[in-house]
Amino acid sequence: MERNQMRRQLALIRQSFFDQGFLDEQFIQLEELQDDANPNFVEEVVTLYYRDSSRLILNIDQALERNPLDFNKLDNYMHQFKGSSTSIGAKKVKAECTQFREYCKAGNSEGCMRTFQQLKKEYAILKRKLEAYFQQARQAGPLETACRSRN
Amino acid sequence: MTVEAEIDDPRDQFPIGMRVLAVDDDPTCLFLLEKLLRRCQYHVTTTNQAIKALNLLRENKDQFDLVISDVQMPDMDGFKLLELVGLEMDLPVIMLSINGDTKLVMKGITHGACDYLLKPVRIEELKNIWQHVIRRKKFDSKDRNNCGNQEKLHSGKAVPKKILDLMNVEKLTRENKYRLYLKRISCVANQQANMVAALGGTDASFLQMSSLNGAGNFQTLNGSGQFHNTAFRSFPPSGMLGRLSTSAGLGIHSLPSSGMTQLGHSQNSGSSTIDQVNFQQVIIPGNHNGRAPQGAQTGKVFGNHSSVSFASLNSGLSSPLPDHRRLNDNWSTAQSSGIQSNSFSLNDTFKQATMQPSNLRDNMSTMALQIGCDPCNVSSVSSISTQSQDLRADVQCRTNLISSNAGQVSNNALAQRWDDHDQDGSYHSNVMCSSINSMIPVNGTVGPLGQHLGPKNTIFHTNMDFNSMEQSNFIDPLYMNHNEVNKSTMETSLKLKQGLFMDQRKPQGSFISGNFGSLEDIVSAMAKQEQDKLKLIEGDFGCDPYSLGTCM
Repeated sequence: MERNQMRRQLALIRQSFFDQGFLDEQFIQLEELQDDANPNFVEEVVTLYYRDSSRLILNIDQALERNPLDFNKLDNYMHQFKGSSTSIGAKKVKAECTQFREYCKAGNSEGCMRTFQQLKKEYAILKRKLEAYFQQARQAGPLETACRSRN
Repeated sequence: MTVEAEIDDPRDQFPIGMRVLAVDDDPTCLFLLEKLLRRCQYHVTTTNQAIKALNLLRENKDQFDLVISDVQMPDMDGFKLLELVGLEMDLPVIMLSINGDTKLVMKGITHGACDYLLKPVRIEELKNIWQHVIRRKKFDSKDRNNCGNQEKLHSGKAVPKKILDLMNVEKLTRENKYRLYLKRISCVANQQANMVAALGGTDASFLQMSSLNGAGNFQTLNGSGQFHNTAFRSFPPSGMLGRLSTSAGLGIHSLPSSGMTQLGHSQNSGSSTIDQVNFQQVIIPGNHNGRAPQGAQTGKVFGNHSSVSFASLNSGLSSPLPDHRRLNDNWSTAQSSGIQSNSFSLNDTFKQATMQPSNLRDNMSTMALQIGCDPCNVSSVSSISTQSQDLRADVQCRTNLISSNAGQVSNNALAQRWDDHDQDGSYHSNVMCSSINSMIPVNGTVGPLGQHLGPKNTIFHTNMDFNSMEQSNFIDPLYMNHNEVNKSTMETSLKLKQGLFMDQRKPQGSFISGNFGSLEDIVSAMAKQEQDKLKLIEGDFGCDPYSLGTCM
């Protein structure tokens, strides 16, 4: 019973991700790839994402401190960032990446910095949410996959 | 992980077990891609570095069926990898990118990608990628048939007409040419020699019509015959290529090799010079006296044997091109100035080539000479060739390469000279050039007009190894040009995978005028024969008695 409740709760949380625009369909694709052979596939991918992107964020932060800004380099970083964010379906983060690249193309330093701050915020929020989600999923047990109900 | 197909039945259940090499510097994307591919039941190998991927592929060419690669990578541009793979291994490559810009997709196509997918990739799309493997296989077998034709050419006296016929057999569309070009690269080797012999045998080595990657190149050669004229005449960057390409069809475009690409690009950009240059290079063979490989250790000439071919060239070239008014003048000067050096280091080879040109009489020869003689000459040559966009470019590449090696110096200068001559046939030269050009792109700087040839002689060096080079295909052309001159050096040119057509034989007025015709034929024949990597069209180039006589 409690399990069911947990699972239901989990499903709701998951749904909220989509409703609030944190995640998009790509996340569902990830979930579909999860199977018995890789029961924690989604979590693995997300963990990999956060590990790799934190390095990128550091690089971008450093690059943003330079003066003048090397927009080309920044754009390259962001291209990478966008790529991986897209792969896990991080919708809001991806949107910020796009915005950032626009500013890069326009050579707008102020815009870049502002956007990046926003991006980091979204990135952190999503990370927190996903971590909580996975933790709960583990608690709910292997039946968690059953929670993957398409609402 | 788990779905890997066992080695026991990899192909039996194709597409299950299809061996895919996935390349992406982003670990998240790579991880996901791997999972997706395994889900499709493919046998997956992943790497996050393009260089590693290339090494894997080079280790064992039969190890993979298909390559999927990201476009933007830190250690190597995805397009460059694409070209290299296509050129060296002739494997289907699928590009992946987050960016679906039309320009990028187009770039992928021109570089030879068989598909372009947008991230995030869906599994449904990946489930279909095996079709590219099948398609390529079919295409390959078709090409093989063409190679058969080459036998005919080689066996007997490949009369130009016959060659033409053979060559005409296949319709070379641009795409085909490119493919043929690619195939050709793999087929190269003996054909060249044969071709050369067939052509007229002056120095087969020169004529190496290295299977100009694009059979297309040859094709164009056939068609345009004007190779010389166009190429040489107008060095004007934009104009030349156009002509060259049409005539020679060398279309260096999208030369597989990374270097080539540059050529191709340059070509497309309208740098006619490149075409011309290539052209020139090719023409040089005219002089070959006899295949004496003299040094031309076929193909290796450029890098390795530079001395060889040139040596022979020098001997052959005694007389500067008589006809080519300007060219001759230039040549003579060039010759005296630069030719002597036997140092082949790419530059040298070119120089040598320049020497030879004198024999070539044809503009080509001058070109060759020029190329060899001075860096400047060379450059001009290269510039000439730049233009050939199509396969012609290949030839051009070659010439360009040659020129570039020379020091890229006065590409323009050469170009000018060439213009004078009537190059009606310059096709071949174009072809040659393109091959050269293609080579040049290796470094990316083909700049005949200074643009492609890429001053780096290194291009040639790398290309020199034709046999082994990835991009080397073109290098031969360079050799070829020189060879033409020397005939003996032709051998080296043989090596040229590209099979430069040293059609330049036509000494009269136009570079290729005389031989050109034959070159054209040869080119076309060559084009047909994919196998012939390097066909030296020795005979064609400057072998013509009228002027060449003295040369050799």
